[in-house]
Amino acid sequence: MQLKDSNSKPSSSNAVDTIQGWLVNQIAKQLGINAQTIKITEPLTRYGLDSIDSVTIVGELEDWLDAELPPTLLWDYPTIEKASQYLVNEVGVTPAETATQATEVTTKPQEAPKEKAWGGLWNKISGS
Amino acid sequence: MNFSDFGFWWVLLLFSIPYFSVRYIAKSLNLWRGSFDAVGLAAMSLLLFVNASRSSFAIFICEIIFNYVMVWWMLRQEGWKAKAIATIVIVIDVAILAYFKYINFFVENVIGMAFPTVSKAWIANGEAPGSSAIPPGLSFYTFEMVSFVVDSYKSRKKKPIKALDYLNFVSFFPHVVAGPIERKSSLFPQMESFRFKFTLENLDEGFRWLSLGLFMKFVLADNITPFISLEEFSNAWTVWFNAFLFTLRIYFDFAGYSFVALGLARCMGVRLTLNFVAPYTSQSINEFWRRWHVTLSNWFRDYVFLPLMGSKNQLAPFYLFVTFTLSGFWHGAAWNFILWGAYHGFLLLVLRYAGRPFYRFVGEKFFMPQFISWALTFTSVVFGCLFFMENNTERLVSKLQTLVTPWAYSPSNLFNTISLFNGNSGVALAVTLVLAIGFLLMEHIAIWRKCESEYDLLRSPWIARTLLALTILLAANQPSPFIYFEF
Repeated sequence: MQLKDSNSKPSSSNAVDTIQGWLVNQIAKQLGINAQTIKITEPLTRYGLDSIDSVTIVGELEDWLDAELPPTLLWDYPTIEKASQYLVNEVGVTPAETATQATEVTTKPQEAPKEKAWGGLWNKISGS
Repeated sequence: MNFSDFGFWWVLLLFSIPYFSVRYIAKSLNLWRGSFDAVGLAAMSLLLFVNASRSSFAIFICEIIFNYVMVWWMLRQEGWKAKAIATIVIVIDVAILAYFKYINFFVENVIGMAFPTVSKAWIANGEAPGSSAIPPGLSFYTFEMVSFVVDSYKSRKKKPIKALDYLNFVSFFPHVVAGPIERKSSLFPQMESFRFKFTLENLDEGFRWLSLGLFMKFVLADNITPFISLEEFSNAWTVWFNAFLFTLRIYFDFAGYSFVALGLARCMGVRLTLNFVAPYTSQSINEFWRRWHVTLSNWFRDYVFLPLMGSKNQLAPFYLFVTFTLSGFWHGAAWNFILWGAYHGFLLLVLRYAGRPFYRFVGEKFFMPQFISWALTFTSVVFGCLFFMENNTERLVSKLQTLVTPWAYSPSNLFNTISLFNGNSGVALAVTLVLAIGFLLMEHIAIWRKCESEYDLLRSPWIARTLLALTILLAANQPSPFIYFEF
């Protein structure tokens, strides 16, 4: 499925940011890692996310968004960035906290310091 | 279809020349209707299947008719009736697969454990009729048919399906024998609106996948195969080296096949699912299973793991283990495949419970923890290949004993292993390994450069042409059979 441009509208951009922030925190909690080490563009398996975690997180996401989601969401969209964009642009979900959280998530994981996280080899070599 | 069999390409050519000539003339006279393309594709697929195996073709046609009629009927029913029809179809499909693939194993190994005389009598009577060799493609198209039934049953819009579209969906010749195991949502709409689309873009894309697949199969896999020996079990270096060679071979063999299928389909304007996504770049077993034989992994995820798991999350680890063990059993009716599946299920559980603290420790103490993650993952996969490649259980046990025996790693054993490969054959192996490792390195670089696809570099125009030239120059004289045809 092709993704639409996530930055087309300010409100959808806020919704994407809110979902990204929620996913970062939830995945950090689930895997017991520091949220600051999670990059939204990195495949989640690089942080040790397995099948059970994937299904569990989608279940919690369904509760939070009050929407029915495919249990395979984090297989089909394996990074936080892709999953969030899909949810907002394709499924059309809008988290209730969008307005309040939009400012919080500007501190975001993209700016995270480059620690020795599970998936940073290529980042380190490439300097990205 | 067996792409390394000359007969396949010959029949394809013999069909294509008159068919496309007639099509061209009819089109120029405005006599050609679009739906004739779908008829032509069905005829092409069935002809190639008959050419591959007549006995399997009979089973295949019976199954297609049965499945189509039942799905057609199911789509006209509601509630428990639709569910009952779906259940009957799935049970019969799986029973046919089980008969041809597992009946001998079941009687000889499972019943034989409790009643050895039954097993001996079974073997003495010459086993079950038709079960000595698995009909080509049975495992793959059975899974595709089962998924079609489930997806049709679950779909909200019960849209009727046309027989010709269903025939083309299942029998589409690039994928019918060894996958990719396509799903209704991805391939069926393409078959409903099928037209031969030989556009410049499709031919270019198709050619690049074909170049990649042919190179992987005929240069890398087929040149590595003759060096793999199952006999040696007392020298740890040799055991590891053979497992390493097999690890390379199985990837280049099956991914090569899948890419040729992808390329052929793309030339006609059909997009198949990418079945391999650079699996040996994985930094964990979780990641490996999202990159290796993707369509089979997704099938087991959607039709075994997720339904088993349901809302009972507390049993999820057990279900994960069961799913992987079943996936191993799908590969073949032998203990080594069951062990291989169970081994991977076990690794996933180890990673879940012990891996995270371990990687946290490694991440804090080591300079390049990701390299350690990759090396551990790759070594685990190589070790797993020992189970996969060895169907002699006694010899497998001996090899495992050797690997845990410290003195089996003596310098003299290392020297013996190296001296196995000398002269021209040693040079041939060295050249093949350099190409293979270079190939894998290109996948790593594509990830490092954040290319859109892991195969972007290998499919770039000049490299694709170079790979095709290398295939013509370096293809093995004796093509080895595709490994996954046995499954």
